[in-house]
Amino acid sequence: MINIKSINWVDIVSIFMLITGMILTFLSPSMIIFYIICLLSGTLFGRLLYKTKNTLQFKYYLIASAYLLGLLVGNFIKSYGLYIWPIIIFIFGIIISYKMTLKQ
Amino acid sequence: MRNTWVNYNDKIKRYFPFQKAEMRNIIATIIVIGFMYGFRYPGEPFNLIEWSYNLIVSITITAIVTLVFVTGQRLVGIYNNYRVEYQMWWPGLILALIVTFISRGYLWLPIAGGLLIHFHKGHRLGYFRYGLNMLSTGMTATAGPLACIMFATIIKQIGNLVSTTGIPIVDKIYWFSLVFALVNMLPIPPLAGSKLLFNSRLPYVFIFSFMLAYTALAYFKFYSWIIGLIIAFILWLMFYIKFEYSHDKGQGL
Repeated sequence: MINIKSINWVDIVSIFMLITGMILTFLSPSMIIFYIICLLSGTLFGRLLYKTKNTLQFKYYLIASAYLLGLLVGNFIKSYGLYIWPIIIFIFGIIISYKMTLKQ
Repeated sequence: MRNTWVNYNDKIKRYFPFQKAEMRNIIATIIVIGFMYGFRYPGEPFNLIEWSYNLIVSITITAIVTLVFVTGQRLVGIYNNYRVEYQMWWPGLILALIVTFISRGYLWLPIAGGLLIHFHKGHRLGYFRYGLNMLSTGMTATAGPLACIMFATIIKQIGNLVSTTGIPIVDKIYWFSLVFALVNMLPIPPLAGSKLLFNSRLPYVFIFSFMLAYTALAYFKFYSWIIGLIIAFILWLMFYIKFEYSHDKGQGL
């Protein structure tokens, strides 16, 4: 039996983000919009990573990875194309947002 | 002396102009919200020129309503001897953009952003509560949505005077202003509604109920502030009896 108290909040948020990523991919009407969503989500995570740069960041990497995995699973089911593109666009979004926040 | 028109006019001249970064943020907000509003193409088949025209109209409407919103907050802020600084909430805007994309433009959330309030030490000398007053801070934030509601009413009245059948652009501005005001009154930080709710619950309930009632009545083509205010008062009273009064007696919340 699972002890609920032993479950870390990071696990719960990661699962939630995984499902969110999948749902967003299912709801996206076309491939271009799916890639735009990847880019926009990347910018959000870039800002999150910048804001938490002075703390232990592994949990945020885990959450971002779970979200990306959700997007990739959705991509697999909807057959939008190569898996490498969502990953590249997502990371590009993170870098752009991080650099822009750093500039501000 | 401190509340005379001359004094207020002088403060407006000195503190009303936008800073460069603020202006940049307002323009970015207008473009993003305008894009969300004009994203959905109304007709079939798709025509790029018509879509672009629709987008420009949407951005113009957004610009007018956003400026009314920010101006309302600034004017009330200056009256209370605060300096109001507009702050863009771009994570919220990105989330709203994602929602717009996945709903194909059917769902759009015109999130204006937050505000930062500084108080003028010199101008507030002699005030009973010298520092940042909670209620006046909340009311300064709420002035934006209220200004939108007033603007919507005025524009609708002018439209009704000009044409009895209604002008499409006036209706668009009217409904956009109402939705803009309602969304920004939601208690989500850093939106204007959260500033009032976390500072003072009862005025929030009254103002939000009024906005909701007025918009619901307008949906049924019944444009009345008085009925809206009566409904808001009833809802406020119910909230007071159900939560605040029973809370004082140790029963509620």
